[in-house]
Amino acid sequence: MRIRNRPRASGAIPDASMSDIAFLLLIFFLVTTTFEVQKGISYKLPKKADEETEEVVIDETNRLVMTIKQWGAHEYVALIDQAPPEGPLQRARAGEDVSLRDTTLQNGIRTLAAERAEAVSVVEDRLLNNLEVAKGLPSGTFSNLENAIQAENLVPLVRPGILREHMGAVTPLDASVVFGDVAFGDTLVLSDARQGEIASAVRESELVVILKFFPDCDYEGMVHALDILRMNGVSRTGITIQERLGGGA
Amino acid sequence: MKLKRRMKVGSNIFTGTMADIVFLLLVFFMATTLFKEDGGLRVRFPQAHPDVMSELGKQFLTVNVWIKQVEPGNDDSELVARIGDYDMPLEQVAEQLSRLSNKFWREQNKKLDIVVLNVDTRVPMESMVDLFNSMRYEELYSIQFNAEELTN
Repeated sequence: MRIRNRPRASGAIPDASMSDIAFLLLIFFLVTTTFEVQKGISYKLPKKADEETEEVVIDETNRLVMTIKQWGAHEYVALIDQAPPEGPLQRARAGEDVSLRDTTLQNGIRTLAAERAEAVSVVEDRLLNNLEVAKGLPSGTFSNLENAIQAENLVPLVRPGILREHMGAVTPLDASVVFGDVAFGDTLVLSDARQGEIASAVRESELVVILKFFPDCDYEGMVHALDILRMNGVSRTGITIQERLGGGA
Repeated sequence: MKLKRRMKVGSNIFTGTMADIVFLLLVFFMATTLFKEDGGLRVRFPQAHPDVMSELGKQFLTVNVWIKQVEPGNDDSELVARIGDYDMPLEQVAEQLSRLSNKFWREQNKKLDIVVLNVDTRVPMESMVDLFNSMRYEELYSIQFNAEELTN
């Protein structure tokens, strides 16, 4: 008689497919993970003072000087020390502190900046310079932007800035042969079919805002102030410290 | 003659209850774990509006600097900075950055493009302006103020 083997129950968990599952999960996370990109506000310090540096005097009509003071935690106030004559923010000079969040202050800064928006030709010159730097070509290789676009086979486009949203129909526009209408705050971009974006330049304002911080004002106040200025079209800023009053050390 | 069956020694480890044990341990650790807070410099990022924030391109050579007060919130407290794994007083930051910049140039023929500042929000501006001035003296001009996106 043939004795049949009784199937024995095994206590082992089948783990042959475990590596498949692990790899599947690994690939899923590899594909779906996005790393956090560092973000922030870029800032260029002025060149150090030496014999070669020319002293730049900012014209009074393009200069806004504000003192920033801390008013409790996360609250900062501005005092307008000097505003361009015949413009908004004149009344704010009466020695009153205004919150940095104040819409009248922000609107005033934006109007001052918009009135001093650069001409498109200036932005185009800067773009041409940026293009030459990006391509590693000597300055003056291209006689003008149209030639450069043709020679390098580039696509010009305008990236709208946030000021169009803030200012609506009153955003200053300037016409350009290459780009068409360019609003204040827009970015002019030159792209290549293969490499993507090659060079860009923003239509900025010639307004210079000098921020004088009280010595004990927090760093957060500086980021806050710079943020508000950039949102309102100011890209040229100076940072300094308000001298302590009453002498001392 | 009665044959005695020889005892067989099994080579398998019994794993039938392993899953139970593993889940029990998992539940235990899930319930009891407290995450360790970052032991390094505690920095709170200031907020900034997403529309005006720039992303740091990968093509740039950057150095991160972390700055905080030894006693956060106390304006008279000394400031400490960290570059890489090294802590140093704030006064030495510009000099160290300049050394790093020279090192990059010597070893990789690359220039240090941007100094990324991660600063505790309570650090007083007076010290920051001193830092900016000493950075200018060392000819380091490009800064990125690291900030979180504003959440409304």
